Amino acid sequence: MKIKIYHLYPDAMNLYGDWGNILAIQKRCEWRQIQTEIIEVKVGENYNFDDADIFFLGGGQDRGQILISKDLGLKGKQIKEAIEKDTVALTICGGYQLFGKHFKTANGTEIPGISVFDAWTEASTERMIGNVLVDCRATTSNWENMHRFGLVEKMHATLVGFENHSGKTHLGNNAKPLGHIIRGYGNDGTGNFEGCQYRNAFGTYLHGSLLPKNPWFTDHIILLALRHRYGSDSELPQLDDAIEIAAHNEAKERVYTAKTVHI
Amino acid sequence: MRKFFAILIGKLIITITRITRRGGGSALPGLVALKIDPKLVSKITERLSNGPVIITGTNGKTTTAKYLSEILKASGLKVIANGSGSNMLRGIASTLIERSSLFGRPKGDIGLFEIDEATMPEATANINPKYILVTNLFRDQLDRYGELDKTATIIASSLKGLKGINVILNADDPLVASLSNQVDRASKVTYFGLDENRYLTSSKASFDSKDCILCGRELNFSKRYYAHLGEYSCSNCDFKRPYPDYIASGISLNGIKEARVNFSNQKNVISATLKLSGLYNIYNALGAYSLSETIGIADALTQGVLENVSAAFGRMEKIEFKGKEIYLLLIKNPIGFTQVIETLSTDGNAKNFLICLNDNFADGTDVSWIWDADLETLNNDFNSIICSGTRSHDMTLRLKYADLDTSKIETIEDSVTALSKALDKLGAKETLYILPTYTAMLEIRKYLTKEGAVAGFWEEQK
Repeated sequence: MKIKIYHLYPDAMNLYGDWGNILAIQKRCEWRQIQTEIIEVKVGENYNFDDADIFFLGGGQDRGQILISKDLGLKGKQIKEAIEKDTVALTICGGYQLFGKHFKTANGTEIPGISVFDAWTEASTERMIGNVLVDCRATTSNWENMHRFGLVEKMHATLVGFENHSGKTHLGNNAKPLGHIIRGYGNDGTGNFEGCQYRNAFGTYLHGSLLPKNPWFTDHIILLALRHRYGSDSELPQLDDAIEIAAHNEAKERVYTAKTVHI
Repeated sequence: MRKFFAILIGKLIITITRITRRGGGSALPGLVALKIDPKLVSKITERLSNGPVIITGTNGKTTTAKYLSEILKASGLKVIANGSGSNMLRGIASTLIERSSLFGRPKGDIGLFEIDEATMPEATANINPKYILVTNLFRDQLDRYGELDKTATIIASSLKGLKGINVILNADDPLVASLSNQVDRASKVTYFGLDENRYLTSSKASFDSKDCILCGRELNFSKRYYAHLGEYSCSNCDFKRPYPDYIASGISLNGIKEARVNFSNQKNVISATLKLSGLYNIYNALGAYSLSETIGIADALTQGVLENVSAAFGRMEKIEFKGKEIYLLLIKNPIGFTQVIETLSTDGNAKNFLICLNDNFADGTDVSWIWDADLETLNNDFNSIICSGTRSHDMTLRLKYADLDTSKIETIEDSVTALSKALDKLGAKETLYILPTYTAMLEIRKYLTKEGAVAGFWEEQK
């Protein structure tokens, strides 16, 4: 078995260990004898996304984000078509913002996104930095995978990560968040919602790296990708996640015990 | 009068913290004194006859400063330097208070200050620098400073309008080299860089700055030493690596033990065998060499000192403890971590490691940087690894995903417990390599000091 991952603009959009997410998908596939093919998508080149199982877009500096936004606009229609056909997408921070409708910069310029998510982002002067704990029980209740692995009981369906953004993302009426914030700023700094999901596309502000410490979410992404390629009877064998769960719990604890300093 | 009271109170606090043994008393005296006289630092530094030297950048500040400090001392100059990580303005104020008379006359000829990138605007406005050296710009503690481009912008703004000073830049780092555009014409810019073909990398780890900072297009690298340090030119505009005035060449690394290198100023060459190995330490020695040439110190003297300097506080420091050999190697960002591992591997021996990952403020509260370090190169070429610290499990997880054999990896949250365990497990003639983040290094050093292995760090600064 094999899944194909399109890593969008790894050169410009690779901040805060976001590469660790690709590594997590790759290793958790490898440990189950599933092959992964990773294609690095570059500005100015053309691709056929028909065979994409997963898109990944990480966070970037402002410079990187401006550099790729135009090119992403050109590829947007193709990416959206693939997502309508249940291709999986994971987008982090700056990548998440560009998968929304637009990003309004501090001087009022609107950088258009590709509108996968019914969400839009505006710049703020506040920097939202710190450990985050997200409750995904309600927002993932329709994910079969959760019950299949008994993960609701084991991990309490939480996501742990680290946010570092000044953009505030607002969800539209049709948007569904990825989870509810237990600790942290979240999408818009109010501490209500974190991230967004549409079909098999996910957006979030969580670095960390996100996927290694949240193996249940990684497996959900892999399973969706397998089903996209091989049909709905695809299964994932269980792995020994003792180290992952220990790191998850440690991060969860640091959400409460780490001192946060604001400057 | 303000100045007098500020210094008096500062000196009192230093004495009290020393007596009560509440740490080295690094920041507090300066913090209080600056509240009393905000211009205190400027008032003292303007009276330094050879002016202050500022060293900034992500990696190598402390070691470069240590090299230079020893060179200056050997040349007969009295040096006033900050150290041990207290490189915010209040830390510098503390140092100056300690090293000046009650009337603000400095007890030294030249100042040598390591400055955090984010503190640069405040520092250049207060310190009256005569020399500024920028080592490199990598991703470091991004949660504190924002992003790498922003760090470059902050340093750039700190250089604007400074007249009559010497700015010494790393030619091999495009972000640093581009800072020359900000330097006033009434100041002088020189560059240092490597000329090397033996130690090149194609690793993508920490290849942070691949685009031209001037026009945003891709940079073409004809050589890369590590990360984004190398020889480059822009694919679009005329930005390219400036030809360095000070060059390190003929490099040969022998594990962690030593490194051979030639330094030249395009006229004379000096050959040195350094006690500190690794390309990143060659850059540190080269930076110190460039500064000593700029200040006008004789080659023979510089050469002798470069060969004799051993590690700065916690950076590749060798410690004997209970008959066992320990190396302390500070890790604080992906490129530093990767370089430490790469340098260690040049001697080909399997090693025992203790990695201590903390996520306190001084370490950087975001630990995602460990995922950007190229730890795959450890490649099972180790006997044992113990991971400890407030993010010990995260560290173990990183190693699992680097495909290392997890049966040889143990997780012990408390750093001191982990250290005892690691030493117990150590066989005869084996060495323990400790890789701690900043606050973990302080914990370990505090323990080793208590056990009589190393001197208290504030005693070392004198």
